[in-house]
Amino acid sequence: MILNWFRQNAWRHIVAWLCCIFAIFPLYLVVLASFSPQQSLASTSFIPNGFVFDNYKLLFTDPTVPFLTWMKNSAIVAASVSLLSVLIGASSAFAFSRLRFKGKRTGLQALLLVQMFPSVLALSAIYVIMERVYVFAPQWGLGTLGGLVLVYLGGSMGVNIWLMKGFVDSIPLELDEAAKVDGASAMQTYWQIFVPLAMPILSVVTLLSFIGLFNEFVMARLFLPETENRTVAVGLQGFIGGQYSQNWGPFAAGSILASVPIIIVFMSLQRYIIGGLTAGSVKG
Amino acid sequence: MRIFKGKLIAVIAKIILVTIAITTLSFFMLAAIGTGDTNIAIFLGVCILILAVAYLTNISIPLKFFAPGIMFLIAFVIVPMVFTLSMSGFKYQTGNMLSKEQAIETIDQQGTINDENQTSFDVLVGYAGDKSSNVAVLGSVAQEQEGAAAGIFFKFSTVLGYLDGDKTKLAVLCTDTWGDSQYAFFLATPDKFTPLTEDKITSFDDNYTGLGTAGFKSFTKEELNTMLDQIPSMKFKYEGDYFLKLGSPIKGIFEASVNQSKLVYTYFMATQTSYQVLDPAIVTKDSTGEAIGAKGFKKYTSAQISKYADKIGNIRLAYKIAKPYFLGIETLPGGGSQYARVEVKIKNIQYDKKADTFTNVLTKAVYKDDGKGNYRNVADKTDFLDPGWRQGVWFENFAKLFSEPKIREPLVQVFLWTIAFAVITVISQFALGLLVAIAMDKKIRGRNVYRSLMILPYAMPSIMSILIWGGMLDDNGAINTLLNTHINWLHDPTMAKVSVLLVNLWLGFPYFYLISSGSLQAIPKELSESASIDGANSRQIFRMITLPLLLRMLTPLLIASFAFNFNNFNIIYLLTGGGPSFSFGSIAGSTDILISYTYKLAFDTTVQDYGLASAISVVIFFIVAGISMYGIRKSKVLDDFA
Repeated sequence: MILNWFRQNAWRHIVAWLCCIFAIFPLYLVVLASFSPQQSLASTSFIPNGFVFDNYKLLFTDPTVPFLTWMKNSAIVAASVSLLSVLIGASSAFAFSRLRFKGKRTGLQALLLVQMFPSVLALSAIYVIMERVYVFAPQWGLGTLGGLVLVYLGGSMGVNIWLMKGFVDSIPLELDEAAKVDGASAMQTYWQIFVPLAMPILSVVTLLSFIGLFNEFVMARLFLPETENRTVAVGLQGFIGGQYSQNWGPFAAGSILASVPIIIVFMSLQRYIIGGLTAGSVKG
Repeated sequence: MRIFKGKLIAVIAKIILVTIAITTLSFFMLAAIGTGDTNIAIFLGVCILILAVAYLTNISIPLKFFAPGIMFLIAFVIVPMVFTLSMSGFKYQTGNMLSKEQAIETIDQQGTINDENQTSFDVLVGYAGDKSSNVAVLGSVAQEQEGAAAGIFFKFSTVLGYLDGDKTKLAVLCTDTWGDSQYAFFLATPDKFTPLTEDKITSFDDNYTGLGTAGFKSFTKEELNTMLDQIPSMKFKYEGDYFLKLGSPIKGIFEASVNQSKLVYTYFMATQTSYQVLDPAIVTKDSTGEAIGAKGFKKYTSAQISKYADKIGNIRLAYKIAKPYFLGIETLPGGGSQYARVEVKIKNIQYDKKADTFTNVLTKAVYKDDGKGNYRNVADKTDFLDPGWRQGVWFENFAKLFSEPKIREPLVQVFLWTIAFAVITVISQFALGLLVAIAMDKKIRGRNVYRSLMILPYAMPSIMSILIWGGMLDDNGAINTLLNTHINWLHDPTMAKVSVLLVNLWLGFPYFYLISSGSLQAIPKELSESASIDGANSRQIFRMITLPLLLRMLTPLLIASFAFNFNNFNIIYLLTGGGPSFSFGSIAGSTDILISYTYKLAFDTTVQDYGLASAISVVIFFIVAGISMYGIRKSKVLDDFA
């Protein structure tokens, strides 16, 4: 009886336990380090050796580590880009999914092809363009949050259109056909039938896009050289600067503060996000 | 049924939005025209046109839906992409970044050297005549002129000799006579003046001229005869700024007179076309004699200086020696000084527009367009002019990938590792994810807790977790502390690869766990039940039924994951930076994948090679596009497009 239970269930628990330990031990260590009174890496331990808030305090008081500003920058950029790109992209996704027009297949294929170009490598070209934009529109060019928003908007358009198209496809056609019978134009169908119906989906795509942007590093690092302008990812990376041994404690505290909101959003939207995963999104 | 109303509001909203958009774009377009960014201005103009056509007419309904999205896509994705792809056909690297016209201009601008004496002057910058754009400088050239000191007519009877028995230590012993037998004596060397009291003088002649003192010995007549040509240029120190010069000797006794050197100024004004020495009468001077103004010259105000700063910095003014000599303004007035500094330069590198060659007028070397983006010395192939330009080289960058061992060998290694990295990553993430999914495919106790903990790595921003892992794998990090080892996780070629794979497994297995468990539930239970009735054990069921079905469902996602990891820049760049390097100074390292290697080629080295980086990008693009297209065909995503 017990043997049978073991054969059927115990191994499941063992696998689960091992994987859980694998999954959370780095996080456990970071939480520990963030509350540890020692700031350096050398004092790593697996048992709490004190509980102080010094590392957190430093993030909010040290003028060379404008952590709050970084968080604010990240939030502003990610929020405005994710909202705008869904607002703009949703109509394209709707058109790809519902309208019939010449070149639809070509358009979709082109959209896919464009996605496959590694954007990291187009950096220099984007850099040159934004450098020139800075000359005539200083608040939207290189080195500004506004400029980064523009670039992100362009970059996120393809993914979001593609993702939303997948969702739109799953909305039953009968509704818009009924609207058409009632004499609605395409625009009216879009605004009065599709948008209200798709609201939950649009919110999920917005949040997914928010998380993705929060994670963006390469472009942000190249774009925002000034400490005050950095996003939290770039700021913390620059703060640690490859020298893990020195600022380990404050870095641990910063990365926890930056991650917690994202983790909460992610956990509460699990169901939708996993639905999105199978529709073809790969989280970066 | 819904009744469609509110048309009026919609129309008003539309008009307001379109007006705002077009006004904003027009504003930026005008600004772009203002700064000469023609391409951007044209692009914005086209955008305005499209917006107007799309929303104010009814030509195309789909265009109304696509217009804004496509504009962003073109501006920030397609244009940079096309630009990057086209760069692969150019020699485009540090030293060859400009267009040919810009390169010629720069070489022409920089092809100068200072004259042999590094001559420079402090000048006032202004303009000649009435036109304030006609830049001119007004300079004062000081020359030392020696002459009898004004108002001092003393003459001293003097003996020339030397000190301490060393004939190079020249000195004079002077006797000053005035009034009725009043005498004073002093000893003077070229840099020291020493008054002497009468009792220090050891011998006198008949006129009571001092002839000797301790340590001083006079030259003999014969010695003096050999020195005659040098005597007029000798100078001995007297009080203050004055100095003594010797006249001709009478019976070995010289007459020394008091002299003084004075600064004498000459004045010049130089413009781009002329250099003239000015008559001092038309020059206004300050107390030291330097020019502060002249007839026909107006000094720039500081506002004018800033207005013309660019022009002034590059201007070439005539010098008294004709071409290739000229005056260049090196520093502008500022920092409390009203003077600018000009230097005498020689334009040694000269461009011949007809022959399209540069010539060095001093060495006579001729530089010709070598067809590879540089002007190269015809006689000496290793000598070329900097900067070069972006020269179209067709497929040379691609050919280099295969032909040059210095590029090919690291590239092959990086390529193989990229494939290995992506394959191992996908397999390991999928295997672990699937194992967990199967383990939790039964309602075991605590399943929800397990699940929540296990997706934490996936929920966390990956940038943060990669950096955290970087700290843990550090030499003094948690992993070494835990295992009580000193493994060089990030800097040993093999261990670095293991680390990258391990961290990537951590990052990705929850994703595969989530999708596998979803798919497992989608497999009808009847299949495994009927198989077990037929006598299959659970292992057989898994191998023959579950796994094949699962693979068929998940192949598109596995391929997408492969394509994603093929270009997984962040984990490599943030964890190991691609390192450790293959060898000292090599750009590529053991954990570099194609994209991180390419990024480093283009941005992270001192000699940036955009051309080569773009060529590799094109290769990456084709590989990833090929893989993804295959995946898409498999998943039949495009089937229902038509």
